[in-house]
Amino acid sequence: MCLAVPAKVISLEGEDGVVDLGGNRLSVRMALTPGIRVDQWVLVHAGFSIAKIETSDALETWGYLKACYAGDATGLDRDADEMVASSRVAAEGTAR
Amino acid sequence: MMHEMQKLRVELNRRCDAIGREIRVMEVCGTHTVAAFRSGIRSMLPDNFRLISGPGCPVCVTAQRYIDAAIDLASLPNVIVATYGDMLRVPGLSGSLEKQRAKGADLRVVTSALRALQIARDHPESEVVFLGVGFETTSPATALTILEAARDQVPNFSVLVSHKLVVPAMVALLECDDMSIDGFLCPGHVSVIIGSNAYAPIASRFGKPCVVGGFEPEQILKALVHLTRQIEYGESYVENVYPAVVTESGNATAMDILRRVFVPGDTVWRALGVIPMSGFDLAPEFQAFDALRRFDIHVGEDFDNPSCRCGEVILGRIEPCECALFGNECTPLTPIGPCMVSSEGTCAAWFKYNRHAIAMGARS
Repeated sequence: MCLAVPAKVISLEGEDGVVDLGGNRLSVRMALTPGIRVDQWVLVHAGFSIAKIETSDALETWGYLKACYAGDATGLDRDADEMVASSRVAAEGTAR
Repeated sequence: MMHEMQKLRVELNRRCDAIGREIRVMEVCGTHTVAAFRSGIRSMLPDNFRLISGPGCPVCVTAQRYIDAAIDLASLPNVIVATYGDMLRVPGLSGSLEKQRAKGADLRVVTSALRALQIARDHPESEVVFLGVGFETTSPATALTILEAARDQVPNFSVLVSHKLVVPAMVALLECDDMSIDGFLCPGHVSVIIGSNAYAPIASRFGKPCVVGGFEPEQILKALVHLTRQIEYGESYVENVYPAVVTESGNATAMDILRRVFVPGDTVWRALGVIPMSGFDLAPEFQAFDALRRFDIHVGEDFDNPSCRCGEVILGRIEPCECALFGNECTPLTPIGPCMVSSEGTCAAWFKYNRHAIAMGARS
């Protein structure tokens, strides 16, 4: 339930904003992040922005989320398999 | 990324070898529970490292008596209950909100408390009750919505408040005689609001390392490495390895709003019972928005299914597969306990991901 997702601020009007969340436009209440500006990134949870986030960090998170959405066969499972395989190699290397 | 992951994995292995005993780290965030499974991290942990899923899923720790009160509210004529979707299937004493909807109750699934307020504006002839559940990540949204309802004088809006606070639950766990925890992976997005300094009492009073971590695989693994580093050296302090969004003091605006709308109060947790000052009551000037008062609803007692071991799962005393119901009578399609209802519940995560880990040949 505490999932929060980075989104780019597209427009602002008072405490209301429109953000781009993975290609979708979403109305978000910005009252918890005063001083936020258009083109900055925020963390969105339950219809509210709860924190400002740097562009590079937001894009990194979206890279991860896109891998999740791409499905197991193309994204994370392959990474996870690689991770397990490489860590086994590393662990065996350590043991020797 | 993989290179960094590999380095972290090697360091985690080395430190766990050096510690040389079972290491028990608890995460208290349902999003961490799922992320650790989905990313494959759980399946690559050293044999002596146990990542325990504590009371971090707000749906799972919502007491049955609260579900019963919500069902009572939904049963009233001319009442619309608005709720986050996870709450619909949580079993109460006599069914669930979903079953109540099948009987004709007007239940609306919303993704924001503001949507519930809008429903109230759109239906002035009805009463709209929002179910306020969640930890500190979510409670500011409820608080702001109540402020807006007060400002705009929306007379037909109220809230059944069952928000919970993370740190008092961590303290309650540590005060249990039989709890053995070496450190906490602290919830990233709760910490956005409360700040990493909020865990200082856990580190100083109880001598438990606390590391705030993010939700990407590298962020989780990094947090676990930092925890084992502290454990290896016998240290206990608060570290924030999710600095992209977490600060020491948190979101001051959100905390101010929480303090304005709510006052800390004792609240009931499923499996943990009443924990002092672990939840919120409405501050006196906002009690007109208290659904229990408005509809004179009595909150009863809990009567948990004696076969269901969700309580022990939430406390980290057993793993889901140790419950006889798990995967048999209790599945995501036919959940008996709350940990199987929510997608972030420990049992649901185990059901979905642990078979996958077994298929990968890793430790289950």
